[in-house]
Amino acid sequence: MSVSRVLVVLGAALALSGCATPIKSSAIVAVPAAQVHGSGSDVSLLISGGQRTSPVHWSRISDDAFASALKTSIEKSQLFAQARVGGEARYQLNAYLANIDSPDVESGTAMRLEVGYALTDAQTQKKLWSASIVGIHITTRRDALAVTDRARLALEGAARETIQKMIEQVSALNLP
Amino acid sequence: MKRNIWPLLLACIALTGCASTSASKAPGADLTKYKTYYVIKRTEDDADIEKIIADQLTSRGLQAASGIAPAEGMPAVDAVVVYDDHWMWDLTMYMTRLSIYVREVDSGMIVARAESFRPSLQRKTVKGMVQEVLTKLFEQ
Repeated sequence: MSVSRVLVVLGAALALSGCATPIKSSAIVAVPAAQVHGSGSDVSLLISGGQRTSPVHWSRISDDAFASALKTSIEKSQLFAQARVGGEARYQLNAYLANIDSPDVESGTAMRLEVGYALTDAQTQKKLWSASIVGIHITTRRDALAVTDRARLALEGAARETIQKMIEQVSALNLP
Repeated sequence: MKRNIWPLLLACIALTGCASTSASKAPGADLTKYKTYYVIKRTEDDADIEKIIADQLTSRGLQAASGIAPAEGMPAVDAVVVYDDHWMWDLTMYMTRLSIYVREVDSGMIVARAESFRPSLQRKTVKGMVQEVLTKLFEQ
């Protein structure tokens, strides 16, 4: 194979692989379709475990992006009267982005995100609820051509799934 | 032929990357309260990494046992350790990534994690990788 052919193949491979881009908070906002029981109180959000995206690796979710998406999702679904990142409120919701994995699947690019959520009554310091919620999302070539884009879309879908499940489970607590 | 080696060499250098470690923990998590651990063996692990982790936890003054996930309930420990190891071939097999997770016993929730990534040219032994990750885990 000539050098020019090798360069063409390499160029095509690079174009299809692309560079990883950080996940934007707007892409992971989730609103459950079902009716949500809303608390009349405020909630304060604390996030950890987020990672910076390196262009040569896969897309990752930062603490700030996840916090912003969580805040918007809670307010849109009216799970709490108001959500704020940090500060004081009647309830405290912690989220730990514990593990991102890319399981092998035949049908496309899969991303698995495990988030540990914990809800505390800030007044009594009593833990009201906690759960390790896993979101899995699979994308195919129909969703995006570049594998980095498919991985980003899959991680966004997995993140939305964990937020949606969290809202459904906290809603079931029927908090005042 | 000599002239054509350079692009390949540059590509190899670019693809190897740099070694890195990272760690995080859940908001408010306090690893100092965990004194006893059970390290669960990963079923595909042929290198007995669970024993190395348990040995190194013990050498840090903690109590640690290891083995397969018990079918009938977890032993009475403060926390469970699980791990994920990735290997590559480059003349010999080497561990390119090791992630260690600390889970609560009751809820199964991950409360802390640490990991190390090492390309071929910066490879370490399995013991070295475990030591590096545990140091990162407990220093945060």
